[in-house]
Amino acid sequence: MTNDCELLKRAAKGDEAAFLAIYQRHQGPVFRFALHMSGQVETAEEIVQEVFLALLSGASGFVEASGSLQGYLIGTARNMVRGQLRQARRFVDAEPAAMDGDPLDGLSKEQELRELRAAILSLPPNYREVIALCDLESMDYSQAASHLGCPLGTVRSRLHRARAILAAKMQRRVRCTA
Amino acid sequence: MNNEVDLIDEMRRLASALPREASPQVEQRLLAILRARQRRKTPVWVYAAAACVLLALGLTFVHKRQTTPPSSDLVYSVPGFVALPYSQSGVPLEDAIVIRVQMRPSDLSSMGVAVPAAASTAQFKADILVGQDGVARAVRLVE
Repeated sequence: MTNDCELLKRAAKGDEAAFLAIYQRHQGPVFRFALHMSGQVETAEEIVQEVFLALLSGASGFVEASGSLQGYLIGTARNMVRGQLRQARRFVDAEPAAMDGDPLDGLSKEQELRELRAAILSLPPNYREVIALCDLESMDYSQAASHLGCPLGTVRSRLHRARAILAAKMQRRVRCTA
Repeated sequence: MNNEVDLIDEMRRLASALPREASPQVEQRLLAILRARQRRKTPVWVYAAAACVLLALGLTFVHKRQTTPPSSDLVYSVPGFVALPYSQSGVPLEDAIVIRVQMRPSDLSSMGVAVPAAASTAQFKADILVGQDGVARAVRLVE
């Protein structure tokens, strides 16, 4: 498998195949992270496009020594999602219970999953990030810490707190529906 | 969902139920942008060639300016014409027209051309050489 940096250099010179190789290798994790954070497929796709455009334009400033390309791309997506969340907060109620274009629409029996998803989306971004990486993407703590640019202990404590909030929310919902 | 293990299992189920990748349209859009950028990108040699052409044109212009005689010399070289003092424009005489006019000796002296004291007051014909900038450069007496 060709090294990411080599592919990136070739892509910067206009090599379409090299760009496609990078895109196909990394778009999945970037897309899923953006989807878990935003809750919208369209928003996640927009973020994927912006992240790879920034990489193409060379404005992204990726340095091999500073970490993996995937970590770098997820970091870029994280900044974009946070920017979008800040903008959205000015106009939209923070409660994400009503989700247009929900990817789970086809799964009418999966009410519990839908509620869990709504609960995840209602978490503060710091907690949502660790849930997205560690629980939804099954990433190990050290990798998540590297992607989020924070110490391992912070990831652990945020994850513990986020899971506790989620469990409480889900129990509250169960009690309400019972 | 009573404990953390159940919660994590549920989250794994949720993750597997959600789309895993961006739609192919995103890839197509990115490829279209990449191709458009490639078309717009001008090779370095084009800039180098343009710089050489500009440099050559500049040198030619400077050389021409140094070797071109002043416009008054051109006027003097046309037979019969006398250059008008104080009317030599800074613009080199590249294109000119000749206008035939009727003048009096006093008109000629007002243009700065010396008129013999014995000249009559009757009108005479003259050709005025006018440069491309509209400035009269020289005069020639016809009669």
